[in-house]
Amino acid sequence: MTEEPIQAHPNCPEDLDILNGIHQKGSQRDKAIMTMFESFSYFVKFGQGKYRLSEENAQTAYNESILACINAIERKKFKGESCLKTYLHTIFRNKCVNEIRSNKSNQANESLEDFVHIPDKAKSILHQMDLESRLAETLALLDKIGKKCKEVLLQTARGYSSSEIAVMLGYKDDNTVNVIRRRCRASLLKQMG
Amino acid sequence: MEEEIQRIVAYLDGEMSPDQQSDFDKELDQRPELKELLERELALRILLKKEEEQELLKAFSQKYQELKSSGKLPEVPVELEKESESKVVPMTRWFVRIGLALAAAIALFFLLRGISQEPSMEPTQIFASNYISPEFDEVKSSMDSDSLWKKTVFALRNNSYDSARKYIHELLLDSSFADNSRAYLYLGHLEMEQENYEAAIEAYSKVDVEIQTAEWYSMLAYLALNKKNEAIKLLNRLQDYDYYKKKATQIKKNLSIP
Repeated sequence: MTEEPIQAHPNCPEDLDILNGIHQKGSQRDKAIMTMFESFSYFVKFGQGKYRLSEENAQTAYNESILACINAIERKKFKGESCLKTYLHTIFRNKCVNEIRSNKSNQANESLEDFVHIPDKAKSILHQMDLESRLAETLALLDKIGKKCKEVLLQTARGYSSSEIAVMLGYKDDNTVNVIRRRCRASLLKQMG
Repeated sequence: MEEEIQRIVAYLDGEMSPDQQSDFDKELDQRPELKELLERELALRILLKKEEEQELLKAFSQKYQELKSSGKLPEVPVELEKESESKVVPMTRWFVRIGLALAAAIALFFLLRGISQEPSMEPTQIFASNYISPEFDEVKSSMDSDSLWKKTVFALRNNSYDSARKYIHELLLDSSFADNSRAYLYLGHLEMEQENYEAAIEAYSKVDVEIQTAEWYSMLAYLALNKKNEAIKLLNRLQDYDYYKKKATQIKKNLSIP
C-alpha cells in the first residue's frame, strides 16, 4: 500500500517544512513542532483581543490548539486543503469558546483514536478493555520503576532513536539504551496484573 | 516473557509481515495471557502519550515566555488584527447627536413600558453558557443484545468519536437495526462534541422520536454557527414544550427577542 504524500496548500508552500517535520521522529519532529508554535504564537494576542480572554487563558487555548493540530497532522486528518494557519485558526477559535465556558471536555485525554495506526485486532481489544483500571495500574507502576526507566520509555514513545536517547541521557551507546528499554518494559509489564 | 513483549511491540509498531500479523491476531484469541500483556502495553503507550503531551504543554509555556521576554512574539497579521479590533466608525458631531437622541428615546420607551430588558448577548456566548455535553446512556431495550450498539456507546463514552461515527454509520446501513432515530441523535451529539455543528444539525434533522432533545441541540448548533434566525425558529417551537419552555424563553430574552 502506498502512503499518501504529505501536501501543503498551494497558497502556503512554507507549511510543507513543518508538515514533513512533524511526520519525522525525535529531534526533527520536536524542531518542527516548536517552529509551528513560534510561527503562529500571535494567536495568543489575537485571542485576547477577539475573545476578551486573559493572556493566561488565551495561551492555554493556543497550547491546546497546537497539540490538537499536531494530532491532526500525524493522523493525516489535515490534508492540506487549507493553509496551516487557517486550520489552526479554526481549532483555536473552538478552544477559545471552551475557555470562555470553562469547559475542557475536548481537552486532549486518553483518546483511543491516538492509536489509529495499530492493527484492527488491537483496536478492538483496546475498545473492550477496562481502560480506566489499566491506566490507574500502569500509572502507579510507572512512578515506581524509576526515573531512568521512565525517561527511556518516554523518549522512545516520542520517537527518539536509541542513539539519540543515548546522547540525550548520557548512556554509553544505543545498545545500552536498547537493553535498558527492554528490561524496563518487561519489568513494568511483569508487575502489572 | 521478554520475547513475547518484543513480539507485541513489533505487532503494535506495524513491524510484522501481513502473515505474521494474521497469525498473531489468532494467537491473541487463543492465549488470554498474551492478550493480557497486549492490554498492559496499550495502557503503557496511552500513559506515555499523555506524559508527552504534558511535557509539550510545559515546553510551549516556556517557549512563549521566552518569545515574550525577548520581544520576539510575531505581530498579529493585518487581516486578523482587523477581525479582533472593534470597528471604529468615524462619526460627525451630528451622528453623535442623532445617536444619543435615539438611545435616549429607546431608553425612555422601555422605561415607560416598564420592561426590564436584559442585555443582548452574542449567539455564540449564549451557546457557550447553555451547552452541556450530552450523556450517552445505555438503552435498555432489545438493542442491548446488539454488540455494535454497545460498542458505539462505549466508544462515545470514551470520547472515541471517529470509531463511534463509523459504528453508527454501519448501524444505519443495517436493515435489522431498529432504532435509527437514537442512532441519529447520538450521531448529532458526537458531532456537537467535535464542534461539527453543520453535521450535527443534519443528523438531528433525521431524529423522529426524541424530537425535543434534537431540536434543543440543533438550536444550540445554530447559535454556535451564529445563525440567529434559524435558532429563533427552533426557540419558538421549544417554547411549546414544558421541559424547554423556561430555557427557551430566557435565551430569547438574551437575544433581545420579545
